[in-house]
Amino acid sequence: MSVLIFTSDNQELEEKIARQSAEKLGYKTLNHRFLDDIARQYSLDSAKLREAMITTPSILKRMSSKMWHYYLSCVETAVLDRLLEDDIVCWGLGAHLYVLVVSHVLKVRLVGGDGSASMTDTKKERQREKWSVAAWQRREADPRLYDLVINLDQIKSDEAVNTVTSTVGYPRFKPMTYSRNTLTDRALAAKVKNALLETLTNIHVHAQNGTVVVTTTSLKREKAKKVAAIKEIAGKVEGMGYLEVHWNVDMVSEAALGHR
Amino acid sequence: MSNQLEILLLDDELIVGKRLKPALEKIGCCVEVFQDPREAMKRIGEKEFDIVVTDIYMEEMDGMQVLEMVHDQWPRTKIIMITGYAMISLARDAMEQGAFDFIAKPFKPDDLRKVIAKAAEALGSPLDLNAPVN
Amino acid sequence: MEISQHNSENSGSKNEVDGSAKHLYGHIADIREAQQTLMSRLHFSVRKQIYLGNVLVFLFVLVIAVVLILNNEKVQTRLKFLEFVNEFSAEVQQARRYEKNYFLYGTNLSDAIENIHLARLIFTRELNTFAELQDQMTREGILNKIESYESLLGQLFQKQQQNVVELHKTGFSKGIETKLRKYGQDILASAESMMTVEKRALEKSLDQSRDFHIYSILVLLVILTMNAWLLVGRIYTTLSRFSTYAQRIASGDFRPILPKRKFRDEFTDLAVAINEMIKEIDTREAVLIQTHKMRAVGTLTSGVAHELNNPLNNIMLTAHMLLEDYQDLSDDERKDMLKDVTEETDRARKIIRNLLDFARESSSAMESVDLYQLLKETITLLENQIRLAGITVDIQFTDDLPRIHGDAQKLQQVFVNLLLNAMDASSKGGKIQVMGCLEEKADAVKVAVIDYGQGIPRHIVSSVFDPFFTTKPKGKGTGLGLSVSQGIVAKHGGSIKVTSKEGSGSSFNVILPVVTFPELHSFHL
Ligand SMILES: Nc1ncnc2c1ncn2[C@@H]1O[C@H](COP(=O)(O)OP(=O)(O)O)[C@@H](O)[C@H]1O
Ligand SMILES: [Mg+2]
Repeated sequence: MSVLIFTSDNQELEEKIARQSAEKLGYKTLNHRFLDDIARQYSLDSAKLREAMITTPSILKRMSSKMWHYYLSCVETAVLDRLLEDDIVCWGLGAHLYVLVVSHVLKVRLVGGDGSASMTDTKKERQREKWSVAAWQRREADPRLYDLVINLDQIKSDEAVNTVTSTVGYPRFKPMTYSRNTLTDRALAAKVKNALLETLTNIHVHAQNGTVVVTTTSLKREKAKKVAAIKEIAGKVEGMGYLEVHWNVDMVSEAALGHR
Repeated sequence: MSNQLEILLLDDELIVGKRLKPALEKIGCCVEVFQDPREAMKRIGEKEFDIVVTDIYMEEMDGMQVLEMVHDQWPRTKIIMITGYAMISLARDAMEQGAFDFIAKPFKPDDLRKVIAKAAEALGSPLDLNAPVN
Repeated sequence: MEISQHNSENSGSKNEVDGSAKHLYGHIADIREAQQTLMSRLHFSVRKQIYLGNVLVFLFVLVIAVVLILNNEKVQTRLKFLEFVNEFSAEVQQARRYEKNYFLYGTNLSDAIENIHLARLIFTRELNTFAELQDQMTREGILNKIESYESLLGQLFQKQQQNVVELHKTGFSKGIETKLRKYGQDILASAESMMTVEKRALEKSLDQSRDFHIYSILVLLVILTMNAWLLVGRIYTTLSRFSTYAQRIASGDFRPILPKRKFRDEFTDLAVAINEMIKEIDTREAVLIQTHKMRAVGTLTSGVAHELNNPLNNIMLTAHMLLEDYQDLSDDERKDMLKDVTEETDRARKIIRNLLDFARESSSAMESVDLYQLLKETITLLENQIRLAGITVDIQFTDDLPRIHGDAQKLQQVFVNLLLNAMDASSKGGKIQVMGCLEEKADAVKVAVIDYGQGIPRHIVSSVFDPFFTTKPKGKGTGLGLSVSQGIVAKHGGSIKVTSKEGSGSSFNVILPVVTFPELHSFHL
């Protein structure tokens, strides 16, 4: 009846607990294997897509910022589309970072689980933090983002499964009109953003009750062109309600241009 | 008509009651509208409604209290919360306290009708939304 | 699907902050004007004054020196003349002595002749000197007499050469003797009188010289004192004035220093620099105030956004029902529904209008402000926040409150900050009191924002006004609310005081003078 999202730095344990929980609840699963489907659906390079899920854009890895944002947006759109189905356990896709406001999603953070943290762990943590901040402006390790944080050094994995499955049964995690609407809005916003990011950059999309607000920045002289392009592309997105485009001047580029 | 759904609608906004009453009556419900939570509570004390629709932020009394009291007194009654102050924590609390559904304002009459139909189904007396009674 | 034609223009919002910040505190134009007037005045620097004073003293001393030298010269000639007269009369006396001896004992006459000759030589040699002092007549007279005397002696001497025996007893001699005696006496008398006259003149010159010394020293003293007094006065008074300015500026009075004197000097440059600094501080503070205001707006927006949902819901329901039942409704019913829509639209507009008014970057204007009205508006602005927090706010003002002179927008920001703080400190169901009354001396109004919340622990009371001091979690508190508020109130010549007891609540008292910074004490240079 709800959605359960796991996140952990320990992929093995995460997968194990998530699978057991899904089994116990009789929910579907959604995990990194889904990335291949996404790659196929959006005709993306599967290896690069996997890379985009863990690294931040860099020239060394031949991943431009624009491409990176687009790849992540594809994941977000596809995942949200699946989450709309309910009764699903999801992990390894960073989904918890974009469904924060959806009340029927139980977000669980699993920490520890492999003894004491090693050097590589802190490095990995830093890498995750960098990624989550660049992609979603949130620190993945921030406990306030989660409904439940379970320390696997102190709690056995089957106990964790029990805890999670019973918690998700609380009425407070039941879907309701309000939370379904927020999730639908999130999915719509993601879809619009994805369509726009295919060709444009600097796009922020917010949706509420089907009303979509696109916020963008550009050079002053490119304003009309960009706004028109946004209207053109976003207008074609399925399920679109009312569209509004908010435009801000891109101060950085404008300044850079001015100094030439 | 004994299978007509009995609905109590409580919102301190006059217009909500004024518009939703005919809207719900059209789908075959019997609607009593209240603006004052205390009068509504009095009425609830007298009668078991099938569905109670209540606002949350009201001058006199909190909709959450209404929810709690109705839930205690009439466990069978489905309670639908409507609020302009929708927030994730408030929504979860309402569900935890036994709300049937939680709707954020602004909503369309059809949105509520759908929820009412769902509630009716849960109550075992389904409504037919497509065949409104005149 | 609909696509809006609307696209909001947030373009160059950063520029706008800068641009309008220039007008925020209203002093910028004043400052620019003051700067121009300050600089356009005649230049008369302290350095110039010092130079001028010294040159003046030098000239005066020079004059004194010249006068003294001249006077000295005069005294010297007088002295020399006296010497000559003395010498001259000595020679004459000597001549007369020999002449007497001759008549008594028939001694040699040549000595007398020699002496009188010498006397005449002296007299003629120093004729120039004498010429200065004695008038023509006396000089001629004396010369004549000397010549006569000499010629008489000459006659006598010729007779003696002719070997006249006992010549000095002859009648001829007797005759000459009487004449000689008379001339001799006359000459001596003239010399004598010349001497007395000269002596007196000399004495006078000496007296004059002494007086001149005394007076010139006195005058010099006066000039030096005046010079020092003017200089010290100018520097000291200006410096002490600047130290008052500095204190004023520190207390938040950012009015520029205005030109008052007719000239320009080093202090003008300092005043110009200070004005420039004031401008800079002012702009920065204005930006800070605006930034902080936007944070408060952010806080208020969530409440307003929620509150907006009610009229929006009413409009949505009504419009949908109208659409659905259009055919079945009577005209009156339709009209009623449309009336509801318009009224609810109006309500929605009102809800955001308050916030928009508050959020707007306004050029600051000092106006007459009714604090009661302002506080009521502020509470309306915060209504949603208050409701969400489950808090009641009580407002009590005494009737006799005078209006104050101030910037309503900025003052509202102060009370928004205080009320938000009070709300943060209170728990659900808490109460906040806003009380306004006249201060004891009736020259100021006090507005107290009192909460019965957690209070402020004693050890941090002294830091709550510090910029960036906050006990609130990151993202919630900025620690700028009170510091910005204090700045604003200080600009009005007022102050914010806090009394608090941990666990039982706090009271923030804003004291605002009825008249802000009386103009008569304004900055001038
Ligand atoms: N009414 C109050 N009751 C208790 N503490 C207060 C009150 N007002 C201010 N404070 C304390 O003063 C600090 C500074 O306040 P302020 O300058 O407004 O910054 P902020 O509200 O962003 O923290 C607050 O963090 C709080 O600790
Ligand atoms: Mg504050």
